[in-house]
Amino acid sequence: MAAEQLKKSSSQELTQEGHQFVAKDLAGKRQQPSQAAPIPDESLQQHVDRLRHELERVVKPEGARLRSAPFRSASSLKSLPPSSQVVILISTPYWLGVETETGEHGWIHHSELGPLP
Amino acid sequence: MRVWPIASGALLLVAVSCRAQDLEKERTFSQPVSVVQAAVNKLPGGTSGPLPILEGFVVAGSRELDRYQRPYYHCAVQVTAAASGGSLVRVNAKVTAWQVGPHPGYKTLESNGRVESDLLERLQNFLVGQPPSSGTTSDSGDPSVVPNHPPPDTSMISAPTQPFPKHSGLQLPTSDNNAQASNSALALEAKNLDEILHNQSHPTNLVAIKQNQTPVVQNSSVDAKVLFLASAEDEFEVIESNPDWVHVRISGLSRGWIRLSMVEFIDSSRSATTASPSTSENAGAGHSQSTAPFSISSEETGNFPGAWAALSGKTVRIISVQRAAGTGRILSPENKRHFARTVFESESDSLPQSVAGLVVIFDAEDGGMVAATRTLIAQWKKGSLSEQAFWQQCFRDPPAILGGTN
Repeated sequence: MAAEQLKKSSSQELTQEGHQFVAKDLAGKRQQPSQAAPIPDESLQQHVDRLRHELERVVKPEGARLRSAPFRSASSLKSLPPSSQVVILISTPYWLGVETETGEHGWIHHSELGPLP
Repeated sequence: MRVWPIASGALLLVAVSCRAQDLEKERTFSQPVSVVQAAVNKLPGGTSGPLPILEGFVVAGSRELDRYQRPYYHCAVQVTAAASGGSLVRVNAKVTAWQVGPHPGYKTLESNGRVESDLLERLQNFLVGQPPSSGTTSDSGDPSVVPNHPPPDTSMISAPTQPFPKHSGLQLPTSDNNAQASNSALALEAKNLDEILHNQSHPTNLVAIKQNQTPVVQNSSVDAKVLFLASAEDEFEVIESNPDWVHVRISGLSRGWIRLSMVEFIDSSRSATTASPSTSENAGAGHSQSTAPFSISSEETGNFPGAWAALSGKTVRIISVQRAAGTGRILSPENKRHFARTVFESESDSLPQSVAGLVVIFDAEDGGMVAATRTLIAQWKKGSLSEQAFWQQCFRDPPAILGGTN
């Protein structure tokens, strides 16, 4: 499942040892630019597509709630319709801090989002 | 592909009484889907690119437009078979721009429909203006071939809008120009995405709830009032912790406590306190993470936020740090100097050329800011500037944030 893969990927990035309490140090921060660096033999279009797939997500058919904080009982700011897209600004193991197509900021649980088609 | 909820019937009503203000996001063409899709793929000017200004392209009044730079649009185009034959083309434009100010970053602005309308107009021009192919019709089976069709019924199409920026390709550029424009737009999009990715934040001071129905209580005692029940995978920012409890921020000024055994720590903040609390006092960031008194809460690139001539008005890398949870006291200037040194040493190597300096913001009640130009950092790292001289020449707000530097 895409959301599970995302969660796994994000967790590995943040904790690197499952969900145990592990350091996220300065070196970890510096990994981010290298993720964006073009891969050898990658065309510009492929590079853009890869970045978009990394940075953008699509709301699943069930829709999603944009929340004020990364927990289920946080106030709901807005209901996002299926297939609407968001840009990831903050990434944590279970939640994403996002910006919607209309500029609102909030949190969505990973399970409510899928990858770009 | 995103679809805007515009009913076809409504579109027709709008199209019949066409005016420049009637900006459409979908239009019906007489050509079949394969032909229109091929035309979209080859559309001069492409479907994305920079905008010269935001005014006139986004919903007026939704934001203060003078706070934005480098506006850019990207259109998602969906071509489907129309009920009446031909093709229905829906366009959804995403307009983004870099917001300057205290919270810099890329923002999405709501398109007012002009970008979409212009793309549809360009598509129509392109379909009409295609030279006839010898013996080629829409049934050729080659989706890349765009045959010469009669112009669509103009009563179905809105009036041309104001001229689109040059890069949008209304002039029907040659294939070479078209390729160049497309490459240029792609390169800009790649740059923007790179920047968003680089500025993406990964908070390091969180706990996640392990199980559903976990009580968040008012204070750290077993009979404390339950504020609410948290769900598995809920995340909270850690304020401090002790061997039994974690103090978390719920929202705004609201706080709560959670049993330590009910949460998992997402970063090293816990070990800075509960594992070896006595060591955190003297530890700097260059030491093992388990004893670091600070953790980075965010990184961003933006205008220098202080008043210092050396960096005034320039783009800097801003690294905000928070006291690691549970240290239980205000940290010393020496702690801050240790951490700032580590940041300057490690981050300066990866600074892009467009960045003039580094800023470390200590986000705490006894916090402040330390900044250095990249030249200053380079001199210090080369050894041509002593550490003492380096700190003296850095921007320090308040001046005593790092203690005595003499």
